[in-house]
Amino acid sequence: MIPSGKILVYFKILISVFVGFIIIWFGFLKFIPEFREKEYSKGLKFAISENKGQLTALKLEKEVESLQKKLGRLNPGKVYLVINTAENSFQVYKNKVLDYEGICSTGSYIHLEADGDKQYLFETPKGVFTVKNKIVDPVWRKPDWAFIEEGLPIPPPTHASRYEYGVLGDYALDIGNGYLIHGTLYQRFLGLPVTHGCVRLNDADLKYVYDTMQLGSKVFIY
Amino acid sequence: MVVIGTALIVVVAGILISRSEVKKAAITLKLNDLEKIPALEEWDNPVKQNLWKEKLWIENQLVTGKEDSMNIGINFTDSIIQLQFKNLALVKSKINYKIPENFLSDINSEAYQYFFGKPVKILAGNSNIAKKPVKKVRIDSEGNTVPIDTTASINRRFYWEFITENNIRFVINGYNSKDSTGSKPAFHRDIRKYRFSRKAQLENKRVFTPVVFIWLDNDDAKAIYRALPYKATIISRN
Repeated sequence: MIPSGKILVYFKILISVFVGFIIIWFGFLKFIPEFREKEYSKGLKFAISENKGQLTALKLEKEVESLQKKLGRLNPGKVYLVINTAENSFQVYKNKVLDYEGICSTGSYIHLEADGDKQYLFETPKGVFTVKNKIVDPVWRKPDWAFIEEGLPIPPPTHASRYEYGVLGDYALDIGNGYLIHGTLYQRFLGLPVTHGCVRLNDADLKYVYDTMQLGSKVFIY
Repeated sequence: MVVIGTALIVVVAGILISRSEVKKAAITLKLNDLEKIPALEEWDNPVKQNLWKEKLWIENQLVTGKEDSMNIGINFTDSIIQLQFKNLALVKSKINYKIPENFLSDINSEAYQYFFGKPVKILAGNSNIAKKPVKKVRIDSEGNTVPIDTTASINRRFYWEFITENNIRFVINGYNSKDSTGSKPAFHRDIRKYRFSRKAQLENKRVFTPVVFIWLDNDDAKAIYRALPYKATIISRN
């Protein structure tokens, strides 16, 4: 038989141990978040040093991916026309996919010298242009060089002899600075550099290009 | 006589010293350029090296895409040379042959960035065809067209060499790649031609000038050459 006094002492010891344990436990708990954070950052540092190579590669891959997206976003629009003056050919692209191609005629590179120090270079300009105007049944307003070439006197700017009807085909696309993409009466010269700077197409190709290209569509000439 | 002779010696010595100073300055400049470039992390790892190269290549394309003139992109890895404008490849031509086969492929990251890391300009070049095949004519008093002069090229194999501002010499040779017989270019003849033509323009031999010979389809090569401005921008990767 254990005397009841001893039981009470044991009980008191047990309670003290329990209370002590609770105090210590809560004391620890107070510092646990900090402790955890320290442990976590230690672990992270270790993980980073162990997998540094993999992380760099992942970072680089992401950078390359985002740059590629950025590059992909820079596109010239849904429909655009590309003209090759070296081979006198053209291509129409829709959503960056080749949709139509054919031959054309571009600048002859003839450098014409006339009396009075007048000089003209018949060259198709290179670069990027936009369709500024779409014309049906275009009328050609003959510039000075057209009269010089024919050995005729140059008429005043608004003279009736400057206007010729039906020589530019059914349609024309105005790409600025007096340059047009138009049709021609001389279809046998298509594929050759024979123009005064404009781009000539055959009737069927001209109809397609006219219908497909919108105002503001890009024209790339090289 | 003695005075004149001494003066002459002094002048000649002065010229020689100043020439060597210029050379020294040029070499120092090149070395300094390379020293300023930071190394790229873990370049020796082939996966990461390829990612670094791709990153630089796309960054360069984004830079040249903003330019208002046509430029040229040479990708030795994919064997593609392209005429580019506003991020659009107007001409994409296959590099059929190149010498050396592995052009600057085993270099450290600093040297790679020096040669391929940024867009550079063409400093000087020459070709056997004119940029513009101009035909000069004159209208006589009777209205007849009289040819005066012509720079129009005869139909011959295209040849074009140029040096870039980061000191790479590109030698581009055209050949008929569409020939059904599958004949190869005359490599030795084309290389010999380059050596003869550059005799007159040899610069400072002490600056490292890598040379790469490229063989392309004749028509593509001509179209690219004619479309580019004289001091065009060039980007490249290997």
